[in-house]
Amino acid sequence: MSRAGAIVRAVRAAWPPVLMLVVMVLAGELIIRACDVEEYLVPAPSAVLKALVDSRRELFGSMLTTASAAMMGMACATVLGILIAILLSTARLVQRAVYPYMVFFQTVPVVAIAPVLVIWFGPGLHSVTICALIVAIFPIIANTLTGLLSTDPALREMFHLYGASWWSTLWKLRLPSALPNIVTGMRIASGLSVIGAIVGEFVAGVLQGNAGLGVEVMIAKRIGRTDLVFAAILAASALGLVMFGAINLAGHLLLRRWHASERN
Amino acid sequence: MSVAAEISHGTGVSVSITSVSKVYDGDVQALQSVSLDIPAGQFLSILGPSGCGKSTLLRIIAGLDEPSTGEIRIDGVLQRPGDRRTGTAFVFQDAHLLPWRTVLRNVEVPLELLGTPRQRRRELAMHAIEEVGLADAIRRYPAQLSGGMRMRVSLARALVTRPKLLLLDEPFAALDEFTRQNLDEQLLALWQHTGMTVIFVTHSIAEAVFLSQRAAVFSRRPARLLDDIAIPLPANRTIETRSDPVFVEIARQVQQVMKGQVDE
Ligand SMILES: Nc1ncnc2c1ncn2[C@@H]1O[C@H](COP(=O)(O)OP(=O)(O)OP(=O)(O)O)[C@@H](O)[C@H]1O
Ligand SMILES: [Mg+2]
Repeated sequence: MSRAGAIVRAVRAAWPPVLMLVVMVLAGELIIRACDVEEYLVPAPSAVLKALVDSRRELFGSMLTTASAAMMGMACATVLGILIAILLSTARLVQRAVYPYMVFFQTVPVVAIAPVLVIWFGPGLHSVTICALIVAIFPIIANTLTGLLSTDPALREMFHLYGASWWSTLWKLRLPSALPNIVTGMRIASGLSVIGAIVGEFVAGVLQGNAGLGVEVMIAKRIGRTDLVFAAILAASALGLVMFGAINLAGHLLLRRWHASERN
Repeated sequence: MSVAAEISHGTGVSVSITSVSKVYDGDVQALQSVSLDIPAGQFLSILGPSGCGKSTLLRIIAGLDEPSTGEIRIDGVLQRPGDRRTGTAFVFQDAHLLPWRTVLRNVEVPLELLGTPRQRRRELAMHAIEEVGLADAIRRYPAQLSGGMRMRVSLARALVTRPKLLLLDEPFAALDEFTRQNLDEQLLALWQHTGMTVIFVTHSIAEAVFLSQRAAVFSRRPARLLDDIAIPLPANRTIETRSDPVFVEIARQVQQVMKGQVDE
């Protein structure tokens, strides 16, 4: 009964966007065919689908390459971001001195930084991973910092009253209460890390083995296969969605018992 | 220092407050030369208009804030700022539990911070939880409890270290009348069988008279001690106590003192 109810509710929630998608795809197909648009300018949805199916092995391999850079970048950004946020929340003077530059650094586009990374680390996985890290780290730092600085003052006083050390206050109080913020930061970072990896691949990607999706896009573009460009973009979006979904699921499992955002 | 000794069933401590004044930020005077001597094991209530400085006084006794002038002695020992006041527990107006911990693990927090071994921690926490009548709820999370149950957990957490001095700042103010009376009776029973000293801040005259042996009434800000009223009711207090002529007379008397503060 409740399961059937859940299905009904899911269908009810899902039909408007699904219908929208079908209408858009059909309209695209019709307009492109009717106007006889050149394939290399805008490929019809059916052409993109065909490219997706024909090159599925290649695209899947590329997706794995990009995924590993994005996930590694994401993992490093999470660990490093949390550590930096702890440092900033502990030393207010450091926070005041450093934070403005971090905000500034955050506005510098990765594409501009990527060539420098290639000079330092050479083209390939390292540089691409660092690109993903650079775009993913700021939301994690900013959100974790907010969480660490908004610990319930009464609880901090209680910990103080029982002589809690800095370390146990951090571990037993401040980090767990910042967890919802950390998850929010990671959620934002998950999509960004894929973008960072692909942009990194534009500049620092290499052609050997399974090239990443960014490289795939560049090559497809160069040989005039716009349908393949679009297929690669779809694969990149799918990757972003999978990463976002994974973080969401992890967040849900961690927070469902106690945090209002994940209850029900 | 042995933890077992620290948390063994102790009798209360005496608290002596001598000419304590508090000025916030140079101009808000919250306390004006307050002196009070509280013998070991006494149950004292503090009454006064909102914003007069009751919480300030309680926080100074707990060592969470420093007096501008004057001194606090506990069992004759002068308290210096920054001293750890082991043996003191504080209950806030709201429960302030750690939402990511179950009831049992919440009550264990003070023991964890004091370094009590795991096994002993469990035992003491279970005992404290039984004392407040929540044995059925040990595995639940705070979000799954009612307001009254949360406050009980907060009380158990304060009692788990067997404090010699229990400070409560309007602990049951947010609860409905029925739950509040129920908790009042439980607190009274706990005080009777532990012998600790209790200082209880409240807005409710009936609650103060019902619970305590003595009521200190403060003036509007800056708080001065207006009246110090002994409450010669029998130790064993029940629902009937509230219609006892002594109860009614003292409640009237306190009312009279408080009224002057509002009309002035
Ligand atoms: N940290 C602070 N800085 C500046 N002023 C403060 C601070 N804490 C309290 N005050 C001021 O001191 C006065 C007394 O505050 P306090 O919280 O002790 O009152 P209270 O008697 O507990 O009031 P209530 O019954 O409403 O809880 C108030 O005017 C308040 O604004
Ligand atoms: Mg108060």
